[in-house]
Amino acid sequence: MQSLLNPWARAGQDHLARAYALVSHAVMMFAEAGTPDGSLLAMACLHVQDQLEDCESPLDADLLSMPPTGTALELLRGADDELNAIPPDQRHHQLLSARASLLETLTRAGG
Amino acid sequence: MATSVDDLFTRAHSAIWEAWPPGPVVPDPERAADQWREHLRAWPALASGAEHALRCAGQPPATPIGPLLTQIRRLAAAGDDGSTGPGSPHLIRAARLLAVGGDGLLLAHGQPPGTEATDKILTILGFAATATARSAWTGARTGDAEHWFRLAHSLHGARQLLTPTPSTPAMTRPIVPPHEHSLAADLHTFHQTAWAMLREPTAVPTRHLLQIPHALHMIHRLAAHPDPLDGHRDTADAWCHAALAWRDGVRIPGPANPDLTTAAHALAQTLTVGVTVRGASLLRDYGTDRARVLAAAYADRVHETVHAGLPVIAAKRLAPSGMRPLPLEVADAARAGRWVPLPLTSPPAQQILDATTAAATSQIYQGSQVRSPVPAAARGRDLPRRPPPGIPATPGSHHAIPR
Repeated sequence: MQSLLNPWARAGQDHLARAYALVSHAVMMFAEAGTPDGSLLAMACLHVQDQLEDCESPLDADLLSMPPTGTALELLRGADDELNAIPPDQRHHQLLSARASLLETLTRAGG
Repeated sequence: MATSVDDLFTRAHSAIWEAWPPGPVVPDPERAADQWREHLRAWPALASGAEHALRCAGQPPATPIGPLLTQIRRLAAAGDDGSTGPGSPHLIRAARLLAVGGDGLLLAHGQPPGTEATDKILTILGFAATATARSAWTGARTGDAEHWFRLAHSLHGARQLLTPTPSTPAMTRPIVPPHEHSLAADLHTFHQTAWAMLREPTAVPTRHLLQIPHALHMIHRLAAHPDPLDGHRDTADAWCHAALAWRDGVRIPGPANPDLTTAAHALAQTLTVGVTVRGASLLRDYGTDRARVLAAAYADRVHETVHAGLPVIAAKRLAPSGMRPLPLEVADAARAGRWVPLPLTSPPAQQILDATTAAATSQIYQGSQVRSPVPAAARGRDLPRRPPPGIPATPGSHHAIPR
């Protein structure tokens, strides 16, 4: 029942779609902080989001419509976990660039 | 900031330092035993990350390093007492950074990284083994500590066997390109690029339209920073709300605008480095003057786009948003996890229009002296607002921007 209501509890979803949704929710959380750093980190996350879009990330309506629990930093860490779960032989140039940007944003955010 | 493989490996090294309990304080025995188990649970990931990085560095598995990795896995398994729980977050982080560094080496087309990369990976592994040995020691597991110290020593020995090769750019080549422009240039480029996108009506708006409220939020927020009492703070809050109105499953399924994303990212990069007194002055001037043009044109574009039904929303969001009645096809789409066009009368659409109007008509824009061309719809003149082809005009809409 829980997995029906909570899309994040569903198994077998695309790692890239989950990473994209996590970064999208992090954008809004950072912006919502209403601080100079938050606005800068929101822009940095938007950049990561664009890069993931370039990787043709699927846009899962359920994941994008419901933010998971956790702070923006935890969401970014979760996104990194999802990208890490993609098998090495499927990591192409654009994906690696997106992950490098994500790590840079994580570092800047203190994670 | 430019991230290179060298940066990533250095961060992996730093992450291991964080796993090193500060001395001379020794944790209580129970906590020390927990830390020891956390170390052990992280080692399989660390070994995999290192193995991947070594492979990417061109290190053949038959070298003396291969048996050392086998030994690592054996030691980690030998100490496994069946307890469950997460591995040390610091060592797990180091494992990830090693693996990403390996990926980064694959990006470095051209010269292979030479032994420099292998040396650094072995250094990190050796340091991690020493940290684990110390953890075993403080947890009163002297025998285990000895095994891990020996492993650290062997890893150090393997480094000595490497034949040094000259440094190559593979380690220091930026994965994320450095950005070195002036704030004035970046502001100008962002303004010109955004204006080029907004000045002409289009029936196919870009999905990157939403970069504008985020960028204006950032500009006003940083402009308000030294003096939070001036009008920039309220304007920043208004743009924040305008950006947040698109949250949770509302988007524009339009084409990309790479010029705009590049310009917005460059501006953000420059501002991340820090804002000087002169920079703050530039931001305030831009925010009270030229930003008004973009604000008005953006609001026009959002009104046109929403009235044309071009944005889409996750159908699942419409019922909780309070939309009544909920059409049957929307309910079906929600069950199937699909996107539907954003209904103009739905609360999320109204929220987008209200928040955008509020931001574009912020007090700070009222007295600005605009030097840039302004779209007819955004000027305080009695020109009729011309919607793009195929988009019905909405006379009398209470969301119309005050002229």
